[in-house]
Amino acid sequence: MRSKFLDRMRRSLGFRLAVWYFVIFVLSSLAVSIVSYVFLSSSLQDNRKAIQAKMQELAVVAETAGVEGIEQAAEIRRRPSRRTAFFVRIVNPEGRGVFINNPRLWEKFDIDSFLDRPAEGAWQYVPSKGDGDVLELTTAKLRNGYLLQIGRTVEGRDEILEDYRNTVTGVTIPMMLIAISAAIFFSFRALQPVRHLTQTTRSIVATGRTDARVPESGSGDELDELTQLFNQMLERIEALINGMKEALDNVAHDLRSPLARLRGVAEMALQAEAHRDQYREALAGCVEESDRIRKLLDCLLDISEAETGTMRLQLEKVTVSDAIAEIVDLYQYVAEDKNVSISAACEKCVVVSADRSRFIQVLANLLDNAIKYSLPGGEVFIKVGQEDHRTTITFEDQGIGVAPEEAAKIWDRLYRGDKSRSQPGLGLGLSLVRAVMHAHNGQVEVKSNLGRGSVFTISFPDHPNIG
Amino acid sequence: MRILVVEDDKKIASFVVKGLTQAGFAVDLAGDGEEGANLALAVPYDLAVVDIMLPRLDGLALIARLRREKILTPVIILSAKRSVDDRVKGLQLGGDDYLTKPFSFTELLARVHALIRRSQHASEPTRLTAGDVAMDLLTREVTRAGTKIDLQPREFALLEYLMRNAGRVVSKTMILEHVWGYSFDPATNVVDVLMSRLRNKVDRDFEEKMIQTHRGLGYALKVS
Repeated sequence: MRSKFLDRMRRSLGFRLAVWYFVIFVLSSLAVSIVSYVFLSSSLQDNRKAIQAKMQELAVVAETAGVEGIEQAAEIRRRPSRRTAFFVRIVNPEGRGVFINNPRLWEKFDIDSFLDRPAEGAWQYVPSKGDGDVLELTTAKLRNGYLLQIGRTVEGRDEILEDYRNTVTGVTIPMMLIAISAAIFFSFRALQPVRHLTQTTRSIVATGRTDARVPESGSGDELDELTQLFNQMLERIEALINGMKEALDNVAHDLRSPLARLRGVAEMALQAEAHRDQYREALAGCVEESDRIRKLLDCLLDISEAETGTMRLQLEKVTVSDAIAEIVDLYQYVAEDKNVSISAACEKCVVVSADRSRFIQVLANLLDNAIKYSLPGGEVFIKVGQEDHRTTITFEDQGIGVAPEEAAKIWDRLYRGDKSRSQPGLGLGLSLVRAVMHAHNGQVEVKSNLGRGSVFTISFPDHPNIG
Repeated sequence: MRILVVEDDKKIASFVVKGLTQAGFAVDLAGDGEEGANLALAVPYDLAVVDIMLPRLDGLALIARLRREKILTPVIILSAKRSVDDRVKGLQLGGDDYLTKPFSFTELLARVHALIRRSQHASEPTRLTAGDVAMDLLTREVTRAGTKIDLQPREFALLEYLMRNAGRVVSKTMILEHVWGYSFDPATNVVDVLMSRLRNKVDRDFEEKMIQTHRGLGYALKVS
């Protein structure tokens, strides 16, 4: 459990960001501290240089004027201060101090403690007995065997350094705490949108519901943009899924009635003690009904595919006049039987970009429709026009027409007007026309006068790259 | 004529086998693709009927294997998928024909006959006869009992298709496919309309009706 948690922590982006922030923050503050410590300590080093300079100066005095000269040069008469004054002492070869300048200044230091062991050239430190001050001094041997000692208080140099160290150490812990909290805060805030995204996605994965949306921060930054796009994607997916669900529901619903009929025919035949011919009749009925179901299923699937945009269209250049000639040929006998004449006016050169077999199917359905609802002796006109970058094909009949209140419904699946119920058909022809045309980015339209006839128009957008 | 049927759905397999046996073929049944492949590699079949969704080795892989082994037995593919892609893929892999479930047995039988005829490279006849109906394919002249019958091009095509399949039932779908070259069903039954016109010309003035309707199945031309 624990190692799993740690492992997850280690892989969490927020945690890694926080750690990096923290490490960089601490390292840079550490660097600043060290650099300022070095500067501070080196500026304190200047004390020694001053002492050495004084030493050289007095050594020259000793050369020329002897010990007395030093005494004169070293004695400070005007307001001697321990902070600025040099400590000057001369020790005879027997190891006894023969001169100290301004003895009152140095009485706090145990200056006699190291008379017996003067370390020539080395630095020695004499702590003060009262305060924490330290006298830093060095020793040089004069020619006559006397020792010259020169020093100056370090003005609490080590103390300052130690104070500095203490301060840095004291500041370091709160600083680290601040760094950690800042790191956590920033990574938390920066990753907030990502967390929302994760939560939403997780809930979608877990529940399968696509209506969840990620809250948008509105800040307009990159993550906000991502969130918006993510929501748009969910929107589209939801629309697609709903479309497919609806299509499935419709198909299931539309199959119930023909299946009920199929079952009914079979059941009736099973119940009655019937003659062989009646059984044959019932079986033939079953076969016919199952054929109808298959056609219905194919047609519904075509419509669903076209509506949801999953229909594969093999677009090619189709010459409209050829396609019209084909379907006129297909329907010529049907029209003749009904005493309906078909006249098609189409220029040879008009070309649309379409899936050929789907296009023919659309034309066939429209012509079928026009002939079906024509009255005997009527005429069907097929016209092709080009206007406003669109190719339009109209089917005009002089048939029974569509009532205005029905005009919008005729495109619906399985809708059959009062007058059309007596006609054979699945009630899917016009739905398929509309779905396939929409899949082609085309449009469908109907204008109709009840009792006078209808004009069905389909239109294709022109593709400048084709043609 | 020996036919191999590879189909795992027991009911479909049984009616296909029964129907083909009744039609005079010797039929072997394989319940999965592996068994089907082994049989097809061992026995020189005249034709194979292969379902796509099969246990162990699917139909398309089976066909590909046969073709790799240079076995050119004609294959009719059965599939529950109706998408054009599958059809194209099946035919590209070396299938010769494609039927979507649910299919009518009449149609399967007609396709079996057509494929066997094609694979035998039967010499194209120039004259077809059925009963007292005779059709000259070169002069496009049709006679019944010596009387000339005038036919429109589509009527001629329909009669020719019926005569080529004389004695066998052909479905409306097949007629649409062969006479007009369409694979979709127009809402109004254009086949019925054309058929009744043909009947008027071929059968109306004769006692014996040549064109028979088989309800639910299709049409057939009487042989004798």
